[in-house]
Amino acid sequence: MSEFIYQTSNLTKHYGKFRALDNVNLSLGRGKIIGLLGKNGAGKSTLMRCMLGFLDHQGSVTLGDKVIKHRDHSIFNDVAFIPDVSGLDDRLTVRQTVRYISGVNGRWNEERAQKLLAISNLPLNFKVGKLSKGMKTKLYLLITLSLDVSFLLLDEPTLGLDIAFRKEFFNTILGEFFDESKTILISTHQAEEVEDLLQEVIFIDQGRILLHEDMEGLKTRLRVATLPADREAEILKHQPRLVSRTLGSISAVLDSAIDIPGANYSRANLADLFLSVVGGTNEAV
Amino acid sequence: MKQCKALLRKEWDTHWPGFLIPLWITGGVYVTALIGWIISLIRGHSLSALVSVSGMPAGYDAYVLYSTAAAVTTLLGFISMISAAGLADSVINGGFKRRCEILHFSQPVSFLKIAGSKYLLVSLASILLFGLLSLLNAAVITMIGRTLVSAGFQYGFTGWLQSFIGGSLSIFFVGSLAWLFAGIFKHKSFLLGLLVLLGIEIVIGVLNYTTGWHIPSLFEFLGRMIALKVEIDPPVSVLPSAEINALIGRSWNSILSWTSALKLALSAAFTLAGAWFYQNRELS
Repeated sequence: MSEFIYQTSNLTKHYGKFRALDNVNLSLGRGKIIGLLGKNGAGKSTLMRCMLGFLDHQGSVTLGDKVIKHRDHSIFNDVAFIPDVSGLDDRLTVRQTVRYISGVNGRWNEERAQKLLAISNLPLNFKVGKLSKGMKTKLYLLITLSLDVSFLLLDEPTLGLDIAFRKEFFNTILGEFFDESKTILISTHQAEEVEDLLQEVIFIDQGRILLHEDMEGLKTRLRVATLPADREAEILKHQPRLVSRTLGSISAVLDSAIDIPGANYSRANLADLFLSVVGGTNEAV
Repeated sequence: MKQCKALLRKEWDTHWPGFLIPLWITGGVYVTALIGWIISLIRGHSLSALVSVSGMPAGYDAYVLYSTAAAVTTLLGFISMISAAGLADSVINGGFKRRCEILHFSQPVSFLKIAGSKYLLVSLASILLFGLLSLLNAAVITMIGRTLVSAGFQYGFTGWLQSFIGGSLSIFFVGSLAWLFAGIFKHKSFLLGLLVLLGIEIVIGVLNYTTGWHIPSLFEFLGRMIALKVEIDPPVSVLPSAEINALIGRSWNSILSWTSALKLALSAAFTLAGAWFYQNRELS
């Protein structure tokens, strides 16, 4: 199942003279978990906000047959969005937040909400502002995963969360939301935390899509070659964008078609793949 | 309907402390008056020791009741007007300032319903609260007044009704103006809006001075629109007491006037313009 349901065509966004998105063309299918990876300021959030109609833009965004215009609320019949778990209204209590979303969102699934509420241990009468970051995460997940939508957009959702809550966040999404009829687009600059989840990956840099590929295909197409340091030239002649030097050896991400006699080969991780395509240092991803 | 109910309830849940400012102030005044009255009673004084109408010209008791109820209503109208202006900024920009605007706009609910629920709280709900509180005040004042003067209840309630309608128009006008400012400016909206108006006033002044034109003052015009008083012309002090009834009756003319119609029209224009700016904001 992979019909394209979410598409952008020549999507361009300027902030004054700064071009935040540059002719972005994307087609996202159903039943996928897709990672949107880019450095800080690469255009990930801008892309998501354009896809949701929050920002005025050039080019077009379509969901199914429908063209999404600026501030078009109808998109949220099919799409849920988590910008960052701190984006809840801290003036409301947990109970008021749940009641509010269930009242305004016609896609609310009360049965699922009650199930999630029962396992969440959320203090219903607490103001959201008084909740810990972990509790806010649970609440945001509860109000989002209780919606019967086919598309979930997550924009750096776990920013500021500790590792335990980050893991819980993604496990809950996988367990309670994802199935083959739904699609998740996750934007992050922390490649390692989503690596095992993703089926497709999009690399974005300076507002341009550099790569949109199936994860397995990408890992087959590129691999890490390692040689002793004294054979450095044999690797460098292939002009890799990412080279790592460790004690006595040199590694680089190269096309799998390149065969260097005597080299050790291993699967590249997502961070290496990202840097080999986008360029930069290991610290950037 | 379910969405509207949920939106209205959310607006209430997030803004009730600010919305109820007129109630807190009225309650404070009552508590203070009650404490004063109790202390007075403990000291052996009666109510007449606190409020005296001795020396009043004969026939003016109706006017005393009318004007006291009107004055108290006008004062509350002023408080409600300030409250509505603050509320306009809070309902529009509160989400942005608390970084939760995206949560509210990530729901499949039309802008009309979102803006409508917010505006309802700023204008109609504020006016309703003003009406209830001022009616209570007028009832208390009229009851107390009736123990001191011989005028009928209708004078107190006429004073209330005229001031309530005039005050409601002003709340509507100021609330809508503040709504427009809040739609344009995300931070310190009322202050920045006033600065823009001040800038326009300065430009008018400079133009009038340099060219000899007579462009009317913007602030003078706004002052007329915001004014809470019910106009009584000529002044009561020079009238024979027999004409007070006719005078009170004629003051309806200042309420049901073209000025009031202009207030309503401008309020509607400000509301629509504010909503347009609010809708066309980018969310980030």
